[in-house]
Amino acid sequence: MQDQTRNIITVVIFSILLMVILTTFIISIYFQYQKRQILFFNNIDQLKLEYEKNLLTAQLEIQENTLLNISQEIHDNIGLSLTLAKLNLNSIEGSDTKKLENLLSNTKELLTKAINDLSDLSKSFNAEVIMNQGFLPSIEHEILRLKKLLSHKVEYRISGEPYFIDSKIEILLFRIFQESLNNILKHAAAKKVLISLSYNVDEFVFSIIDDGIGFDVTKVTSHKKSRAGIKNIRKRAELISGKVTIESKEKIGTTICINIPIKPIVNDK
Amino acid sequence: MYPPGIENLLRIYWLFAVIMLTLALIALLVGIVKWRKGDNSRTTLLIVLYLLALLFQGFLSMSLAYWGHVNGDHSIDALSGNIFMIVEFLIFNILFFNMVRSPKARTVIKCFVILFPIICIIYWTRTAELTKDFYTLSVLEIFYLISICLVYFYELFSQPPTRTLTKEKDFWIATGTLFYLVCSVPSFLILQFISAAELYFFETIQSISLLVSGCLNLFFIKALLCKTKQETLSPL
Repeated sequence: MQDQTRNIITVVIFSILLMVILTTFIISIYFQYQKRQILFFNNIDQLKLEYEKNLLTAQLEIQENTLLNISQEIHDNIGLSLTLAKLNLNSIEGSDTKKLENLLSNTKELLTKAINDLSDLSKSFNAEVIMNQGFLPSIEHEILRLKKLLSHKVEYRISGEPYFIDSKIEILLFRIFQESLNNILKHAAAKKVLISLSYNVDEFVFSIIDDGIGFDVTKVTSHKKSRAGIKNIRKRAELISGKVTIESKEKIGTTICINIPIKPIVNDK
Repeated sequence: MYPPGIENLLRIYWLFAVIMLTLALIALLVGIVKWRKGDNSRTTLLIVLYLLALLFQGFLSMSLAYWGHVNGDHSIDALSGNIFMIVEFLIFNILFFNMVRSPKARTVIKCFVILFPIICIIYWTRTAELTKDFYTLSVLEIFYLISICLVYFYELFSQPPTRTLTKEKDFWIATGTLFYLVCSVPSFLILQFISAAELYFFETIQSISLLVSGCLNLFFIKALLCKTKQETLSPL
């Protein structure tokens, strides 16, 4: 009987000890997890800050490029139209009505062209316009602009059901697209351009293919003063966790492919 | 007649039994209310089933313990204990199958769900102890379930710490189960090794199990009060 009482006491003591140890273990697990969580969220905040910083740098670069493009556009197209219009107006002399009518009609056309060019320019560089009219219409608008500037064939393909991508990502994608088109216009001497958008379940693929003169990718990217365009494309793609593949062969053409992963979202009921 | 001091211990046994059954009833009510409010998740259903089995086993065991003082027959108690052990084992396995993410651990759980009842049947047919003893297999069940609980905690720490633990149903279930199982080990071990003992010995030792079972019910109440998480796939 005494043995049994001793056993009871032993079991009770052991159980109480285990309860204390286990409670300590559970509490320490909880606090350890909280500690890890705080560290984890701090790291995420830091990454977010870094991302915002990079985004700001990219935005500044984009702004700089945009200003450069605007000045070029004004100089090459709008400036030229206005100069010609001014020359037309200066040459209005004499009383030949037919000649005067011709000159006025020509000036009118030049001014309309200048106004249209200005409107196109403002639309293509204004992020709000892109956000308001949507990603696909903006791309289509830019293709129309390209068709006007080039006498070449521009093909445009969409595969899969289009879905909404974050507006910040869409703007950066649009800028990458503009940068690629600028490169084609300036350097490629292409006759045919193919623009393809694939809306897959797990990723969005955006590719721009041209049959221009091409270039040596390793040479261009390794060079210290490598083309700012390619650098900008890579930097912007990195900001949106995208993967850029640039393939180019001299006299054959260039392919720029951007893959953007689409992540699943976990919702709490 | 009981040895001196034992009567007090027996009073504690009955007190713990009442506390455990009351907490099980409250948890069952919470589970039913949550179920009626639309929380028809598998976890809630399993907890409700466990509580029903526990209440049945608890009331049966208590009544047998009360009448056992008169005739000393434990066969029905042992039989219901064995059946409850199998039910408990299956419910905890399905619960942890939903909670752990590792495919290896899930395969082990699947295997044990099939293996354990076979082991039980073999043990009972060989030893003819279905109506005598339920401690041997309980010890095996406890050690296996403890290891599964530890797998859950290992996974919890190997994943990014993005969850709010106090609002996690799984965390409360795993914590409660670990607490219940680990604290039951000494009493089950001693009951396993000491076969010839007085009834009061079993009852006083079992009061520890009743206490930790009550604690498990408290953890279940907390788990039932947590929101159910749903995963959906959608593009950005």
